Amino acid sequence: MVYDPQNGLPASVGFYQAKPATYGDCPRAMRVTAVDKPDPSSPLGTKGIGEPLLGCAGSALLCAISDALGGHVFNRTPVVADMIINHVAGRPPTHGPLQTNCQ
Amino acid sequence: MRDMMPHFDLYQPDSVAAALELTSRLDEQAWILAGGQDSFDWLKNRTRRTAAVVDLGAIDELKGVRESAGGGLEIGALTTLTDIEAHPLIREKFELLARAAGRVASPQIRNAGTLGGNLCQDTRCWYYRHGVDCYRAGGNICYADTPEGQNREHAILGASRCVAVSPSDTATALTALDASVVLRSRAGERIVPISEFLVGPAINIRAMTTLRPGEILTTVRVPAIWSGAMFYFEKVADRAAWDFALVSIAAAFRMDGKRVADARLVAGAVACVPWRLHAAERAVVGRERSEDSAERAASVAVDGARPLNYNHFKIPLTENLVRRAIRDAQGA
Repeated sequence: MVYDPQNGLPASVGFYQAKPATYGDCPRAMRVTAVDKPDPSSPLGTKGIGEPLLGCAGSALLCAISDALGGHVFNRTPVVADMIINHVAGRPPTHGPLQTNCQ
Repeated sequence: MRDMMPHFDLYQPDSVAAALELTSRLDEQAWILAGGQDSFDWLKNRTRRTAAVVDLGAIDELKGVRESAGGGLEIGALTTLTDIEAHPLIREKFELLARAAGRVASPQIRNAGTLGGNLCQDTRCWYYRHGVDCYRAGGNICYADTPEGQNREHAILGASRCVAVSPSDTATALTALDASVVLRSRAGERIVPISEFLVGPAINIRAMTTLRPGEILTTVRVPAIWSGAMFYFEKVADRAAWDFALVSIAAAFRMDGKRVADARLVAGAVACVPWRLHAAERAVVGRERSEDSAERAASVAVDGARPLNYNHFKIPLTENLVRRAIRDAQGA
């Protein structure tokens, strides 16, 4: 999602701008290993689905990217293709530090 | 209500003569509609309104591909991108164009979208599409070229106040093929090379083509020059379908034995027009296509680029695409 903070304009106002992944962007083969494996630390063996997975998926991806780049850590999310291209090409990063609203 | 189109008079002529009669009568009021994949965005979003729409969809003489006397092709402007992608003559002679057409948006859009419409579509700069009063919309500012501007998709070359880029995949391929367009009006016919048909902001900041009011793009002429040459097309976008290019490359090489006799390297989405990489072309002509010549060409490909805050990545991306085009071009 893209947002212009100076003018308060949202860029992603249509599907072609918000860009959800399509079939073309999914791996041809996906292996799921978490199904039918009870969680030993919960009384019923149940596991959370939905929200808890976001953190896992994010960290797994960041670790994979770091691995692929020989250990380089961007130390932020999201990591976008631009940052990887710049890094591999040996160019200085164009992404600034993450901004937080502390008011 | 962003999906309801405002009222307009709809004209559906069934011949070019009738369409020209209408466009000349309506003059600047006439909104010329081909496949509608750009027009309906403007009208449904209500960013623009028009009093009259002239729909060319029923004009059969504007559809189809014919071989011209010199061995080139004459492609009707209303030929759909799906037909271009699949047409045996285009695939045989100018596979570059077939591949570029096949990478446009999604199958549904290619079924409706036309070659003429793809060439004439307006830029996708999201500030401009948002309806802000930027240079291109007649104002006095560029919103994308500011310290906080979200300009990841914007130009690294050839900008002049406006930093929008050309969104067309087929324009990039047709520039590499030295194509020209036939523009008809009641006053007659103009044949314009595609490199002069598409214009950047330094020439006209309000329009991306030199199409005049009352004129209709009827035919795209692809000369025989590059027929059966070696081609390479690649489009890098955020997702594999239904997206505009971040950078694309269209390349054509004519070989003389093992050496390159002549070359075209054209980058898309780096400037307001398809951008010929003259220096890279010169670097490869007269040499064999190899890692070495690819490296030489890539190193000079985007000299003079002026990236904005968020689009530095387009520089290595363009260089890599040049490398790949020289290394991996196929055909003949």
